Amino acid sequence: MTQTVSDPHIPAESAPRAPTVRTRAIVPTRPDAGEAEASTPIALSARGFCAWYGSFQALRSVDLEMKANSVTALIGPSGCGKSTFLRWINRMNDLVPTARAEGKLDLHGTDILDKRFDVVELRRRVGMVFQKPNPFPKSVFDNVAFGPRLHRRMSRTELEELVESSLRQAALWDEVKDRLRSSALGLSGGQQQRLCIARAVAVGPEMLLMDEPTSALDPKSTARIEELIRELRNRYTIVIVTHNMQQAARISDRTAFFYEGSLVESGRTLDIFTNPKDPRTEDYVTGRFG
Amino acid sequence: MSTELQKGLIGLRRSLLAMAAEAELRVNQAFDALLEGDVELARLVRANDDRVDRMDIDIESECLQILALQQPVASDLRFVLATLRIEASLERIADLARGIAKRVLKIADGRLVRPPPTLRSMCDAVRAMLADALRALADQDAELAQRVRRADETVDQYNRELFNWALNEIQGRVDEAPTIVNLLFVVRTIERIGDLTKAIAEDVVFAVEGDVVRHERP
Amino acid sequence: MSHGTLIDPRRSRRRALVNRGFIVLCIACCLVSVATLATLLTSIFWTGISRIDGVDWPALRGESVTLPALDGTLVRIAPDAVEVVDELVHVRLTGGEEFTIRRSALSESGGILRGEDSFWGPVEFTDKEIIWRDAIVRASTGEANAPEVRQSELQKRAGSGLAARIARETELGRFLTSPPSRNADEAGFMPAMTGSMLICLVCAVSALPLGVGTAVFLEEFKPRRRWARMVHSFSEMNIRNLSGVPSIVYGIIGLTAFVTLFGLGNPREPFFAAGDKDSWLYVQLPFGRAAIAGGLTLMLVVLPIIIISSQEALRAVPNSLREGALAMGATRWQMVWNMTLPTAIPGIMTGAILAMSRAIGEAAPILVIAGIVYITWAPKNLMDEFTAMPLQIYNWASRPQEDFHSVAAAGIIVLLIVLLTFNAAAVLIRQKFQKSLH
Repeated sequence: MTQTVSDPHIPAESAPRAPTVRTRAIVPTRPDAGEAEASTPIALSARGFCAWYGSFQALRSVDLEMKANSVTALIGPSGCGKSTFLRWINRMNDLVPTARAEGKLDLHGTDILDKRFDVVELRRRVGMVFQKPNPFPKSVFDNVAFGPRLHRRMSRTELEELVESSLRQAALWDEVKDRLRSSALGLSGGQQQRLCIARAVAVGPEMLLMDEPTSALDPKSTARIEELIRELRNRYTIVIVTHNMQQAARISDRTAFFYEGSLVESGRTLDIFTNPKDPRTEDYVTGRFG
Repeated sequence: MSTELQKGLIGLRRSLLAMAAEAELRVNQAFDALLEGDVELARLVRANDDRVDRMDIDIESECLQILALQQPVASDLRFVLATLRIEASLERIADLARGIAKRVLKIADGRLVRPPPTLRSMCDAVRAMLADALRALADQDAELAQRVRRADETVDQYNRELFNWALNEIQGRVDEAPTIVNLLFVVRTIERIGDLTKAIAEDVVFAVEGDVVRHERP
Repeated sequence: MSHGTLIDPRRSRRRALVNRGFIVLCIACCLVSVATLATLLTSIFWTGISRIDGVDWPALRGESVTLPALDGTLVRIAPDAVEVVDELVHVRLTGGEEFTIRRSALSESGGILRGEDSFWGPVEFTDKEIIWRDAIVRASTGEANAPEVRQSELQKRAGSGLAARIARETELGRFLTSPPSRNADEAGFMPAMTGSMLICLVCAVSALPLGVGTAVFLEEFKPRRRWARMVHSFSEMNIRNLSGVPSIVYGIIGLTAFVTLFGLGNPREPFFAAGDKDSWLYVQLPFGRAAIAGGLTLMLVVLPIIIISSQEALRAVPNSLREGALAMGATRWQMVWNMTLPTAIPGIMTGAILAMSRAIGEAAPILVIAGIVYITWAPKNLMDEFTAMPLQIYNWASRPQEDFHSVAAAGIIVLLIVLLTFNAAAVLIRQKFQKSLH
């Protein structure tokens, strides 16, 4: 049985070499690692989080922590509760009349589940990108400006700058800068999804939730968006639900495996995909089921 | 190709070439110690830190990470596979160089035995093979790698010559037997280094062209 | 079992036969409907076209019309001509007889001429000549070789634009711009058209906000609690039922609610009145048989239609867009106002235009509200009595004289053209915005 020694999470852009996984002998970790680990704040924390749809329990006692500026992938077979968990983070499940939740779910220390917590403000701080790109039937500019206009009045130039910077963040500016006033529905699928990402970042969130963002796209667009997610990690905490395990392996720092409503295992992506602890995790990532 | 994969592959290449340089250095130093009877140099080579061993483990985990997380295919996949094999060979080569140095210390006293010039030729041949193999690795030069494979013939030839010389020499000078036997071991070790270098060249051919040329006549 | 045994040649043949039979049946139905429609339209056009397409077209093109010159031909000059004739009007009959009239000889009413010569009958202007049509000229003396009056002078004073010319010179123009009269030849459609436009305007202005607002509330703000949901589905069901109620019922409701304000007062002696009766800014309560009452009654008729079609338009907005808006931190109302409603506007507009086109054609409620009155002027203000196109058509069609039937047909043609325009507009709007949503 191979041993894994947890190494600190080092942001990918600082070191070209991977953190080490000892496959033969135990070698002490680098001494300065512990400090880097402790200083990253925790963006989302779930303790004993349970969720129901009516009488059906969709999530059982989930304990999960996500550090700021990291990418966490939620994987698992269909119906395992990962999308449910995702949608509770920005309380989109409030739209479902039979949904309810218990336990603790904190965003930077504030309890999300508190009824007094302003849902509108929560959704501004936690943006969401959906599986099928859903741009509004307005112009590209109006799509990106939709969010900011909801929240406060801005001057024309302020708005234009914000739209440009959001589109640049989404790596879409160069392709649409000459057609900002044309309909967003004229863009290709990959461009539309990047537009949705630009729309989400325009309101200045801390966190981005992505529900299978590339499953409806062709491989080239998928690759571009994966690249984008890696860049966005520097500014936002990203949680992504995906059916594509290879994608989870490529882009996430930490992976959480859900099965039938429970969080089976979570840890560094490298560990999950080279040496998972739970046999169910092993069976899932190797493709023996699900 | 994703930037993550690109960065990984570039880093891996750098690590491998660094390890190769390190191994080559050990070999050259060992050969120099052997041929000049330089005891100080021999002690240096024997007492070296476990840098190469650490590189071995690091490169292996780098490969593991790239394979698990980035799913390379085609030439990238071949490169990663070849890297795994080459770094194992390099680690063995460095080990063998250290072994040579240890033996040099053992036979340091027996200066009465003069090894024939064939030994120097053999060392030079293996030095050249190693240099060429590593250059073929750095330049992705399959042609050069094939020439390295062919050069192993010469080394085998030298091995046989020196073996015969040792047999004769022992019969003539029995009391120098320990020295001669040690020398024979050294010769065998040099031949092993040559074989490992040939293996490196074969892995380079695999990485570049995709042909598996192990176990084939060069 | 091999695949061969799955195919029974007899059944295949029969199936193909039945298939072809169905296609033939459907084509036959199509042809019957088209034939019926064609017959209807042709008969209407045939009857009405004489009123619209008289003999004036040649006149406009500058040709002269040959009319039999009879002894005892009476000629009349229309009032317009009286204003503009400078000194003399030169008249020439095709038989060669020519007359000159002095302006002073023409009376203000422009009906019968007094003076040396008496003429009455419709006049037409051409570029150069004045030609009498259907004229009966009784001339005691005739004077030839009178100087001609330049046509252009007359035209300039009366408005020489093509529209004004058509309005004055063509039969269609005259039909559309004059009031009805006891004389079939002189019957005009203008008050009916104006009245229709006015009540449709009132209907649109009142029904649209009400209807769209109701639809938005019913569709977007669905309640959660059980009792509220029951009330909600109850209202929806009632609205659907209301759209099937015969429109005369709305007429009765309108009569009670708007004309007499539930019997609170006498329309002829309003208990509240503001403004001058003849100005356009006049309000009285109760409304009486007013244009506003007619408009509001039509609003009742079309409200269920607008609500239902607006609901459909709102339902057509994909839910994914709603989720997208909410996920960015929009409140429910912001989502509806900024995203759902603008997206649904094309569908709502289409429904509204179709509702309006139905409203224009509603005769029964207008009949109840306006009553059988002989209106020869356009409504001066919202409280004025009015008539509408369907009503006027009914009026003409119910007269015994054959001539009036052709006038009624002409009115129907105009009504049909208005309806077609509305529907065409609806189709165009739908087409233009359809592709932008998907």
